[in-house]
Amino acid sequence: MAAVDPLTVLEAAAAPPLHIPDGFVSLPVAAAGWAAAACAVVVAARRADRHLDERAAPLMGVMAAFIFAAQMVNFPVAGGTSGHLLGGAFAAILLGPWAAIIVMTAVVALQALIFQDGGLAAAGLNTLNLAVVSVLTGWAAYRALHSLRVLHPAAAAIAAFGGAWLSVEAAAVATALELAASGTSPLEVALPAMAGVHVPIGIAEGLITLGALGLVRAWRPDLLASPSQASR
Amino acid sequence: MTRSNLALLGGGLVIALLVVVALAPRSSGDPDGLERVAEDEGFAEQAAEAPFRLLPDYSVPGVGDGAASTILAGAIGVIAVTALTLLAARWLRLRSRRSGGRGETSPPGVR
Repeated sequence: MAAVDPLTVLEAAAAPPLHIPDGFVSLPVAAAGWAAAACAVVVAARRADRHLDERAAPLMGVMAAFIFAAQMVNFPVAGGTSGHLLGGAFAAILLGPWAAIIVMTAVVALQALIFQDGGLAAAGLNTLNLAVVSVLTGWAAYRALHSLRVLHPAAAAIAAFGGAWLSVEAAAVATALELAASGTSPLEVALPAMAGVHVPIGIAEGLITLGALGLVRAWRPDLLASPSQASR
Repeated sequence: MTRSNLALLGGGLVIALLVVVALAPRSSGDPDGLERVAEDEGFAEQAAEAPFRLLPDYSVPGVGDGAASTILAGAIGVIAVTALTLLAARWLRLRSRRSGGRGETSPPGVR
């Protein structure tokens, strides 16, 4: 037999962590996902438009471009598993949660429509998990931890790391709940499996988020002092 | 768009395209978190085929499966998602201005 062609390895690349393909979830669960995602995106659109300043549109475009590109890069983690940046917490920290939901929804929608990454029927659930649950959880954890910076300045970095880690875990737990509700995998199996496998992926998410925020601080510190930081 | 905003957009696009060119072709082919669980728990084969395929698995049909295909697909995605998000942001701002104006006028029926 011929040696393994490195190209066949590349061929299998760009797999979707957490992007649910069609077939993993039942029709009722997928439909509920569409309804919940639609409601969340409408709420996000209504709240985001009050806060958009001149700078918001280009920053949203840039975030969508970066998060899309970063999601193509699967890095190996323990046990022959790979993961990639989700970006929900990073987007929420820079844009606030509502604009971040719009950005993440655009990424997930394009991935499903053009790249067949995540199913079409499951696109509502993928939007819910990756664009809504991850953003809101990451944002809430970030804000809670960030308020502790009066006690210690390291709290700001811990907040970004913790928010990013939790955003991945929350999306993984939501996916496990949807798999269980669909009868695909019982909750007592799916929940620990999904939460466990995403522990190291979440740590990588935290580190990349910290690094990306560091780059933003070095390049355009004004973006971190944006009005999106206040009034949310 | 102001010069500062154009610089932001251009710089951000360059960074995203650098990620696509330098990192995306080296993406790990190992199963991801959900795929790992699906394989371990035996529901991986339930995954359904997509009804249509445009740039499946981040490759361009006809360009093959190599790095060039991944980079081309990624570049298309970066441009498309940026355009989509800029349109969404523009629509949101236009809408907020319009609804803001409507809020100022007295509601119908009030004399």
